[in-house]
Amino acid sequence: MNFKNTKRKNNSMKKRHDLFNMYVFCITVICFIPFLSTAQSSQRWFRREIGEAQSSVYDDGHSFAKYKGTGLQVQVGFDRENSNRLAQFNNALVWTPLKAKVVDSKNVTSATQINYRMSYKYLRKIFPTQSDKIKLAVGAAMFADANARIYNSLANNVFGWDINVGLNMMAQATHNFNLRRHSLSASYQVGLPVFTYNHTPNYLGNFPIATAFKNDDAADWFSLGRFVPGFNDKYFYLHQQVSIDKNLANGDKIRVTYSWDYSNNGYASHRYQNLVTGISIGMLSSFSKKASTNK
Amino acid sequence: MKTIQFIIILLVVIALSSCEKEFVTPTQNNTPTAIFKQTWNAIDQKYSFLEYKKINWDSIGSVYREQVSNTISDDSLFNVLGKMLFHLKDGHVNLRSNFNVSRNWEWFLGFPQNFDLGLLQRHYLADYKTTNNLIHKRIKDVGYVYYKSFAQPVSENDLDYVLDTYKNTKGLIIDVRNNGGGDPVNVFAILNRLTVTPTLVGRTYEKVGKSHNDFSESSEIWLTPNQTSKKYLGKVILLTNRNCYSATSHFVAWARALPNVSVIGDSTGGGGGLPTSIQLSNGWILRYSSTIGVDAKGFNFENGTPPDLKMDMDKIDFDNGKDSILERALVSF
Repeated sequence: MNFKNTKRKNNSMKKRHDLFNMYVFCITVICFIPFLSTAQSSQRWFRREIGEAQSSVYDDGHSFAKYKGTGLQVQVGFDRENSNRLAQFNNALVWTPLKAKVVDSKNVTSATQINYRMSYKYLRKIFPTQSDKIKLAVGAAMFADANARIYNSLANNVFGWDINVGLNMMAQATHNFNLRRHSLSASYQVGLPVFTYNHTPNYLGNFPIATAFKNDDAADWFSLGRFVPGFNDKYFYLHQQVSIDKNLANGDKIRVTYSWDYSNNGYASHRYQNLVTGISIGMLSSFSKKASTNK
Repeated sequence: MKTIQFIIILLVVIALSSCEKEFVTPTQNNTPTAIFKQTWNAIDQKYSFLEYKKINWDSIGSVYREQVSNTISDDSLFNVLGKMLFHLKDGHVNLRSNFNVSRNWEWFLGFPQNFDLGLLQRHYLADYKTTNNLIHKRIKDVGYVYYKSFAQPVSENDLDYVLDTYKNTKGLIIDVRNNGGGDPVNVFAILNRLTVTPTLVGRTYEKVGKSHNDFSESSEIWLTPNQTSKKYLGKVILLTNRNCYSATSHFVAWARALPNVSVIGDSTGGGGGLPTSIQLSNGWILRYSSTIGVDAKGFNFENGTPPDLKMDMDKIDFDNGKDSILERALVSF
């Protein structure tokens, strides 16, 4: 057997651990910045949405059959906007029961996927004064995206998971319009990764195999992680979102959102694709109704 | 006009991105030849013992590939795949469909049974105690504990009671014959009670690539006994037969790293790899060994852990109501 040497990579793991801690710290700080802001011209909203979601997963480390299903999603976050910029902090939790797409119904097996997405988007408006045109904004988003899947029929590898933490470049197009005296706003948002820390099960297992046994430190989990610059033929992550807002007189908004999050990852030894789409409806409650300038 | 254009663009974006099949598209299909290919490839790339067992998987694949066409029935395909997997001689390898489960149980069927629970119950275990999943009794001033399956949990309280009961005996026998394995947590629960010293008991290697020799660095397996829990530090003898498999083989292999433990009986059945599984595109589930386990001295126990003293049950003893292996253990203290 040509086993590799058994020297433990403690320093390397510590470095990875520190980097991960740095990520968590940065994301935490950035997420709270908008709420600490005292800018008088900004409008801020507390947003909560609920809706339906569809997940479609192909992970040939687990199954050559695709799994698909419909579930529920909940989104909670904060939005902030002024004449020059907009920021959005979002938390989305998606629960989807999945069924294997196989020809013989007697062989259908099931799984459950939990998807959690957190992001803080910050975008600068381009040509902010030209309010009669489609308004464009560009910026970035710190994001974390975690998936866990429980395959009911598989031995030992029943728990499949992946985590992506990184920076997206973002763009948004927004158009305000009136329809039958209702003030509406439609927007399209797209995000692509600049760099990502991707944490995915490796060749066979969904955990460092040693954690099947006792006495292994948590740092071993980082042996499954890797930094990914941008996107390429092995790694592709795309976030899209279409929102239509109905602007209320008191500054609140009713929002309908169609979200589309796709990841395609070949960095682990197996191909993994996950598409989570959803449509949700919710309310944005303004923190600054008195200062509202919405019509 | 701009509004209409923008709305149309949004609808087009939604329509395009709704084409789920374009983005999540397994390239696999469900024809018998495709299922054969998936099965063969999965074993070729993921099974951990091809090299160790010196199996010519290419050659085996050639033989059975010829027996598969896209017109054969599911039953026939299953039989061909089952026969192909049989060559792996691994109890952790199964193909499971809704109508059958393939298996190779030669690891114990070709060997003496070396265990009879009825014999024990009739001649040794009258008025035995049952502490949850542990059956135990004092026999000739030796503590005897029978543990049927590592799938059945053993709690700290169970072990406290049993070890306290036999703390003043000449020795302790732990009978794991016919124990087909289960959860490694129970393995550690027991072994940590047999020593006070942190002990390296084994290593495991994970398959990390498609080549037959692509393995991870080793992960060391240590016993880290709790110093405050009750221990049995006297002489311990494990009784084994070929039906000791998987977690039980790990238990025996790891226990041999402890200076106060010895093993009497037959070699264990093996099962040194951690089983994992993958689903084929027709829904069948293929289970296979995905790791290699070795003991503290580097011995690969996939084909079994040998005892310190090899013994088979004697037929004359059996007819006289005696368990030869147990009797040998009792006189060893």
